[in-house]
Amino acid sequence: MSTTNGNGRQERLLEVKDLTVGFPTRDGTVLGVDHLTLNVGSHERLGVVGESGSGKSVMGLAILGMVLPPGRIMGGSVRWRGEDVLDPGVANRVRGREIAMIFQDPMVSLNPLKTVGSQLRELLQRRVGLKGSAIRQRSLELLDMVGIANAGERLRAYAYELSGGMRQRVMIATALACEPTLVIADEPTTGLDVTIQDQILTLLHDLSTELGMSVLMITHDLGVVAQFCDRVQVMYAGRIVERAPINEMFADPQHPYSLGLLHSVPRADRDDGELTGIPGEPLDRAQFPPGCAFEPRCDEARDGCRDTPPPLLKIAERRWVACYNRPGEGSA
Amino acid sequence: MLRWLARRIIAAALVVFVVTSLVFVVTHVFTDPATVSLPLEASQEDRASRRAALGLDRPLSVQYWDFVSGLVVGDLGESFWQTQPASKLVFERLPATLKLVGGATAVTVLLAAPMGMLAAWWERRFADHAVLGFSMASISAPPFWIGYLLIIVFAVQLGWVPTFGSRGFVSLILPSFAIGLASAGRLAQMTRRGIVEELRKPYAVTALSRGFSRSYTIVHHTFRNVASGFVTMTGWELTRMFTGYTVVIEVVFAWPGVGRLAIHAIENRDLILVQAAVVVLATLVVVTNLLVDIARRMIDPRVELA
Amino acid sequence: MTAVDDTTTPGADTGAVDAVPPEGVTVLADLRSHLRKSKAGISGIFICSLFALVAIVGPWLPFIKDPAKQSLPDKLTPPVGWGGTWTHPLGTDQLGRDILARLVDGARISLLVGLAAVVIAAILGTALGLIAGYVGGRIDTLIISAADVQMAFPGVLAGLILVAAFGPSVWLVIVVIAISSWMVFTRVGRSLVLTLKTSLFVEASELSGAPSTRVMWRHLLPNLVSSLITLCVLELAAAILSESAFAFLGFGVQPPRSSWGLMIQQGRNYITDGWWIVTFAGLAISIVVLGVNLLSLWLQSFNDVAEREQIILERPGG
Repeated sequence: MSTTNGNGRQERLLEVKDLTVGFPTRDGTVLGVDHLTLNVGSHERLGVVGESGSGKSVMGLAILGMVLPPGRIMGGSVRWRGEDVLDPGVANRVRGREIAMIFQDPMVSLNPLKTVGSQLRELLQRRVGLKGSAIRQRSLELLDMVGIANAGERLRAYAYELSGGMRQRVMIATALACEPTLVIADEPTTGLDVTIQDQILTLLHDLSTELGMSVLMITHDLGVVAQFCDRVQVMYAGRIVERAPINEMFADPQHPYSLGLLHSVPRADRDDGELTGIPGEPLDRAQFPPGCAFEPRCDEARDGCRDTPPPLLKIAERRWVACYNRPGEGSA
Repeated sequence: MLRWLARRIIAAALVVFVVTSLVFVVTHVFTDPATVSLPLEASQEDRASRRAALGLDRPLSVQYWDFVSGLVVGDLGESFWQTQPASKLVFERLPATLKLVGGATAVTVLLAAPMGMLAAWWERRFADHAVLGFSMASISAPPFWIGYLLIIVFAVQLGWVPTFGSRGFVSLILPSFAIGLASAGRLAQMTRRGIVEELRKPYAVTALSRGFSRSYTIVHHTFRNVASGFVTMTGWELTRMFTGYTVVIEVVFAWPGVGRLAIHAIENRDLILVQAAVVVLATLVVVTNLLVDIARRMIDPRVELA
Repeated sequence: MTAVDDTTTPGADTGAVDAVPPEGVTVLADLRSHLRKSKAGISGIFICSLFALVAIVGPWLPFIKDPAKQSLPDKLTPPVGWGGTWTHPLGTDQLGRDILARLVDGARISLLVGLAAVVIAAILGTALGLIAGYVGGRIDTLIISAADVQMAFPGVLAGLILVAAFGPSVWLVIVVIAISSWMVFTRVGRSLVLTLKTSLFVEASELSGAPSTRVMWRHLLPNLVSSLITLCVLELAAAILSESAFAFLGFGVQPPRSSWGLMIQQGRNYITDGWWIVTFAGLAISIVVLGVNLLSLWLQSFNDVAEREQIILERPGG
């Protein structure tokens, strides 16, 4: 599924290295994102999957240099085509124009007191620099692109007057307004009906192909990843535990947590019929063990897992795992 | 909308009715205008003849009916200090009070909105602390004292403005500030807080993620969303002005308004006139609240069925 | 580097409000550690205790003169720094009385009236709120409508009409201030009861057959206390200001007794040649109210009263 550009090599767009986001609490700082490393190439659809509270959403905003208070970025770097996004000047240029974000729950993520038209207009006017009638024309075009019929009428609607699927289409339209190169989609289908979910995913998929955009899909849903992505990273407790091309991830997951995730999803293409969950509860973030965060829930855990978190190591071409039980190339 | 409006107007009228009835209970059941108007050592006969002259010897129910039916047609009784209809005296003074409240509201809004936005923009920086300092100082100082300080500095020492009375626009400045500073202090903090909270909401995060600057997001996104709260609080400040601030400030600046009239009426033991002033001010409060509700609905289309 | 930055504010919405610790001991400990970090809290407590102390022992302090002693030759002596001497550090008034002594003397009335009014309003208002919230039904409707009407008929107007009817007195001022603030406590008390009513522990004790009054006292009141104390402090600031306004209008204490508001009324004819009378009396009011406001700011940041704000904002006008 992955497309390559003319050189036969993907151009690296986004390079995130050791990004760490901390949230101060009474019991000390909790790391929402812990030494995150991630690359997105051109024309690539990368999935980041993890359960709620794994730091996925924090990651999405942090890539744009934004952190919801009281959190703050404590270290690491985010580079967009080589430029430092954590620099406010660069961030101001990149946000929206080069990297646009699509949020879950468009009901609250669209301004409740502005019409669809005025939200598009301010983007086209202030971020793209369109003037006069071009604005309306482009707005209609955008709504058309995301499959909204009656575009002229919808421009006058408020978010609360639209259906859930429609709102998410509007959200996508606002993301596309500045023709971004990368779209970060944070749970774009959560809370929508299953049929609508499918429509939205298909729409995003088609748009990314047509417009040559890369997509960073943040989700808890492996089904979404399977349907949408070329490559996937599994996140647990703010850290990446496994990274693999999509087929290999589903065929041969390496990290015990990925294994658990796959077994907890019903799959049509396999009829062993057995569903198993991951033992134990998602942990309270304040009480993570100093070692591997998954250790308390892991049935392969041994003594060595408890001291320091395992590093993300390459185990094969395009495959990385952070687990002491899957020693990578070059390590013992 | 029309049905909602009708319901609100009926509710407001009901409150006016209850409030005026309470006033009647105080002025006619607990005591009566005749007793108040006479010195304590007045004889029983004097009292009785004064009561008869004012019709206060009739049964309370009759007097109450008189009072209520008078209210409906705007008859608030006869002032015996001024020997004129009380309503005429009050309405003569009303424009001055309204002018004062208008000036004070302008000061309030023009100070509070920019200060609140500035404080939210520079959250936890110097400007934020400075605005908080202003707010704390202005809400802690009694408005009448602020009035005298303004007089001492700007009228007595610097001689920029006239000290007392109502002579055109210039004389409106000091009293407007004396009233408006405290309201501005409260409103600025409320605005700041509202904006800071709004900035954490998903739609504001969306706007910021699209590359809009913090200041653009504050002005064009969040402020509209705190506007309904802003209007409500402004309305609340207006009711404070109508009832509390104007009375003392009119006394400080010898401003010929309803509040000062009420104080003079008290000094002259004219209960009817005080009653008239209080009824008119209370009605103004209720009307203000009604207007605030309407304004709120017009700003925020979501306030549908409240 | 971050666009959406930093929660905590110097003002009202400091972050540490999320969890409500269950034990009273923890609350106190938390309060203390929170206080250490809060400049507002420390200065508020300092100012309030200083003024309370002055009000209590002030007249017995050795350097405080007789506040009633007139001395016409010394009248309108300016304060130190403006040509005055340390005999009268803050100057004298139009009758040659020592301003400092009169400020110390006036502190009692100014603070006591406000305090008494708030205590009355809190007890009365909370009781009504508890009843309204707990009993519900018609009684609830009645109490809440009364509160609504009171909102539309602010205390100053009640004050005008009552003073006109009964003549000025300190007691009347206390009553009037209490009247203008009871409904705040009622609304907060009621809404807290309604929230708590549904929470598990009340249901549990009702299931176990405890009589309803006991449920109210044992379970609800302690939960109310922290919010109510915060509210009391907030209302105290308003009450002291109201007292000063009433005293200024001549509705409260009558001469020869004194309060700060009355000092301003008496000094206002001398603002050209004795600005210090009005200035220092107002300064005393402002500083003590500032102290109370700082205290309240700190308490609010500790004990979230967003609920009250909500109530104020949603106040149905009239």
